[in-house]
Amino acid sequence: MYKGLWITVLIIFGIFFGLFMLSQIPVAITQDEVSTAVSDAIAETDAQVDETAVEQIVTQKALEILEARQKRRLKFLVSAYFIIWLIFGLYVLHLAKMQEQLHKRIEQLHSSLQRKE
Amino acid sequence: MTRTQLIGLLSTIFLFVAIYFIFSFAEIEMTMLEVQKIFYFHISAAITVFLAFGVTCIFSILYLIKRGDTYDTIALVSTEIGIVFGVVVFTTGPIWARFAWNTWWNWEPRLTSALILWLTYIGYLILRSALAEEKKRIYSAVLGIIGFLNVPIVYFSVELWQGGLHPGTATKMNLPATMQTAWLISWLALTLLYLFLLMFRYRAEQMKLELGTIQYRQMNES
Repeated sequence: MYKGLWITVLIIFGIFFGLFMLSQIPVAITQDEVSTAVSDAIAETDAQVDETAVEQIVTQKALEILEARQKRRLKFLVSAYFIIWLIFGLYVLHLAKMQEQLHKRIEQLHSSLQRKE
Repeated sequence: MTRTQLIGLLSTIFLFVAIYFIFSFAEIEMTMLEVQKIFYFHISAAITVFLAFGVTCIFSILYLIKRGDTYDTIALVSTEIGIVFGVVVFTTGPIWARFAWNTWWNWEPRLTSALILWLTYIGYLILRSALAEEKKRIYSAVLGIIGFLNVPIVYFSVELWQGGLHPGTATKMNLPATMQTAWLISWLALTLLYLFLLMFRYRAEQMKLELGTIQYRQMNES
């Protein structure tokens, strides 16, 4: 019974957590981060003539840098939370399985004792 | 609904609430940004490890004084759960470290002393599996008490040895209110989870005992 309960809880949790992680993580971009990303992008780009084109390229590059950095941060965050739930989930399932096997064994022994009596 | 099931349900609810508070309520820390959110469960799991080994220590003392099997069983069960929480600490820690310090591991005071603590209690379980029935209870109880002496060393290691990478013990109290609330709820959720696992695992030990009694009866009758 525990096993079923916990698998259900873990699956529901996994679905909600997955949806949550995909949709709700707020994008945190600071002014410093934008400035750094812009200067990094300027350093990496060759465009020099058309200022509007430069700005567009720089903005595009800055956004790419910011997205890459945020992806990296989310990778760390999701890995950590995934591992936490995996460890607890596996341990609870291990305990549930252990109890189930012990319960079966006790039942078997009880019934064999009753038959002898 | 049994007490164990009630605690299990409560811990699940609080885990959901904690997740909500961590991701929707607590503000984003400006240095680590989203990665800082690992902190809530990492620190809470570490404190639960201290709690678990504290329970082991207390019940080991009680076992040595009163020699009741229940005390020994609770000490054993609490050690096992403390080790599981330790695994959480030692896996989330390096993920954090890789991002913050650009390394998976560093032999700095807090990490080294925590690893020694964790290994001491792994030794506790190895000792139990290696010795005969009565001896293992006494020796592991002694180890359970001695091992706990390391807990204050781990906690104050940052202050005791300068130059570590972890922040001081007062940092948690200086957190913004939203972060502190999210952390306290996570801590409560993991404490409830510990309690649930303790009761659940203790039940399995009771069943093992019952099984042993039935097998003994069966042997005597045949």
